[in-house]
Amino acid sequence: MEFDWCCVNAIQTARNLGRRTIMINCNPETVSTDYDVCDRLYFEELSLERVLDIYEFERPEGIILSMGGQIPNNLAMKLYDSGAVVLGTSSSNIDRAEDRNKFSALLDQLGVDQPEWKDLTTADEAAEFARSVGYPVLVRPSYVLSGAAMNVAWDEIRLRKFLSLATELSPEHPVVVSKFIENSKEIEIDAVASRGRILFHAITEHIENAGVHSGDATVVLPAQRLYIETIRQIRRITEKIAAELEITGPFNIQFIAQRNKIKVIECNLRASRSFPFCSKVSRVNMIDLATRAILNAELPKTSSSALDLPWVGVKAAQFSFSRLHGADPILGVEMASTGEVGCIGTDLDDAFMKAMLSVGYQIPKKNVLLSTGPLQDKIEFLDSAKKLAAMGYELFASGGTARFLSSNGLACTRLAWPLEKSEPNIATMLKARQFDLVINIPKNNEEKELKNDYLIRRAAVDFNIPLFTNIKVAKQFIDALESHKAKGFEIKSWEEYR
Amino acid sequence: MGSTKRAAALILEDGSEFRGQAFGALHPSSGEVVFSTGMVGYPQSLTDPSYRGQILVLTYPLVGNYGVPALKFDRYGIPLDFESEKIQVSGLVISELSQEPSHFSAKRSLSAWMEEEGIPGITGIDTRALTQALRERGVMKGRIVMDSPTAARRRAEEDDSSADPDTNEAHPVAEVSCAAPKLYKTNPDGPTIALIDCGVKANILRIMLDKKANILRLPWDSDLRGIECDGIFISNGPGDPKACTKTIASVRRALQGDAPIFGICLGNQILALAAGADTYKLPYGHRGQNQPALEVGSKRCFMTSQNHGYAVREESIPHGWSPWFVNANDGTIEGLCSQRKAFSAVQFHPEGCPGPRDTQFLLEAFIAQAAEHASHRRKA
Repeated sequence: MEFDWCCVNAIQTARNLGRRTIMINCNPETVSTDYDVCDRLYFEELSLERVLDIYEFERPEGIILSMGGQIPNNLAMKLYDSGAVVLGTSSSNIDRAEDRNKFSALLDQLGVDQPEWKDLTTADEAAEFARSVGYPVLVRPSYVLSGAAMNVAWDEIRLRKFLSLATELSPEHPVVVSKFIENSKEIEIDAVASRGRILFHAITEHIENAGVHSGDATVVLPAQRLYIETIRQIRRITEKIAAELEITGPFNIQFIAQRNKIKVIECNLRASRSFPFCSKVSRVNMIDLATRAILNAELPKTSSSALDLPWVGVKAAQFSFSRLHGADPILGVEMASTGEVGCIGTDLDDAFMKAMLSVGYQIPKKNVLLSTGPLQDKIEFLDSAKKLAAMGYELFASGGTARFLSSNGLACTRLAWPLEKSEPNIATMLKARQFDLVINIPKNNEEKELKNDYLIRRAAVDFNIPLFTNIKVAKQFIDALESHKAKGFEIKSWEEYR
Repeated sequence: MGSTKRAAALILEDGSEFRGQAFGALHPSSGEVVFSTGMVGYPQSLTDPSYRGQILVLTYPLVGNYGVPALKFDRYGIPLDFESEKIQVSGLVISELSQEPSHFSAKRSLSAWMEEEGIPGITGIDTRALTQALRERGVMKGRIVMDSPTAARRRAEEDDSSADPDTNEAHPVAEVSCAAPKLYKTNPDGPTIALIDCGVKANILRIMLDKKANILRLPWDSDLRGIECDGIFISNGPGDPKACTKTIASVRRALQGDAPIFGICLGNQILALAAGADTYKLPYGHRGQNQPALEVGSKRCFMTSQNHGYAVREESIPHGWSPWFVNANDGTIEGLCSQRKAFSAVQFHPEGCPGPRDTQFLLEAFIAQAAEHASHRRKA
């Protein structure tokens, strides 16, 4: 859907510039495959042979690969080697960003930090590397699409289990193991460059900590809670990479930041999923800009960044867990969402609440169930629990959480776990739809608690009770709730945000 | 001999008409209408494979006054006095056809030659006005029709097969390239040049053989891997260079190696595309024998023979490559070279034919590079 928007906008710009356009897409459920969007339309698979056949038949000026996500991007080097003209960033530079070894060497050369990583071909090597950098580690096969088959391993047992699941490990199919940095912020930059010079950039932050796929994450533009120093560093790194790779067109770099230490985790020389969101919130059509840069056309005058907007945009993911029987509704490095919503407001709380309501959350009326996971999360959540109590919500909690809240002077009703047979029980109350909101932060150990947690989450989804499983999002929701109770929503048409 | 009284007309894509009299073969024809400003050399121009499928307008007012020689071949089977074995243009448009050719080597008139080869011509055209139209509006597709344009239109409506051919579907390079590899052996000690034939002009072969090089002439879509050579030459040819994806791909691989590479005209564009640069279509191209090319750096100006409709986009030239020549008239790229290896190409025609041979030394320098590469290779 996001890439469809990018393709359609790229085609519209190309047509406005007087070019004849050809669209290749195998997905009929898109706007880009409407018969009147482009001049020529091919419903064909995006394989080298098909694209080359069409290229040789149609003899276009060139091919744009940077609008349709990772699949067309993967064809860059192959099409280049077959003699086709790839417009925008040169194919050899796309390869330098896509090939993990080459990209890592490039970051070293530019003096840019990255998480420690290694590609490995045996489980023993992987375990030894993980021991040397320390758990947790992120495991991923060499070809990654939407984070498929990626996983975070917290100890050696699970590392070996993932590796046995992942694939046959071999020298041709190595697995990449990298240090997973806990409790860090994930920040992305979506930008457009022309010959290595950045024309426009939008820095977004994730509300969730690093480790949630960017398609699932709740994204804020402009980033509201970053140090100025962090923003400066991100800009500087982005400028260096854009210049080194002589980028022409759209690109996206993902960073993790921990106390002002910035590391680059990924760089894609193509439009990312957040381009439509960033374009609409910043009111700068970044795809139009990118297409003009790629086609060497005159560039419109725009601001250079989306940092000083007088409003805030929040993108939230839409999930379909209720349709997926038995699926555990937690988020990780693999993408799980099926859609997304973007909302604009005067401040973060306003935009965030609008986004949450749009993806199906409701403003809770009375009862809230808390089960806030490991101790550090309990401590982190305490303030928010107090806010809930102050707003007049009645708190219910599982064993450990109830003890913790009581010892901190918060009144709450203790409920038995679903696997315990005693009453009052969480499961009974969930079934009776007694809760208006469930906050369940998963732990990452102890089989029994995991099972209990799962039963709570699944029941919440099955009985259509709003559920938060991520502590950062839950806290932000309670802040937004407080602000909403005080001020209500700002209601304006999109046209007024100018 | 000479002209008939039959009327004919040239109709352009934009609907404009130019009326004259037919000569040569008396049947209609169509193609892209281009003009050349050369004063002489019609036997060479008409047989130049780079003109494949085009209707050629000669701006010089009197054409055909020295007739046409007979087709003869040298000991390598290369045609003498012509650039290929047959007329390549789809049609010829001139102002005045000479009725009485006179030259010691003339064996037939221009009209008779074109009639033999089945190519129509049209004379009595205001080529000045036509050229001005093409310069203003850019090259256009056009059609030579017999009798009056209205009668021709009526016939065209009745007969669908005469609809405008979609130039996209024809692959002119495939039509003029050789069908199978051919070896020209002159000298067991000389360098061997792998010549990618995209429609090579005969004089390029003649010069190389004269300089004691052996030539392995290969079809345009050949894979160069596994071919032993001391230099790679990419020839001139017709049409859009981007259509030659296979040639671009094999030159791209050759750029990884060390064998010297030289290209002419289409070869210049293919080398540029292989290096990662981009090409575009010029509004009306450069065709003539007095195109000034400035050498970048020295500002030396050479008079060159040219015939091209596409050019290399200057701002797309990648790192490690530099412009070598630029056109003094419009500043377009007329050649480029690698800063690291012996890879270079020119947009103009050092072999002349027709036109000056002031830059023939470039082709000779390439043979010298190849010879040097050969001696290194033998030592190793």
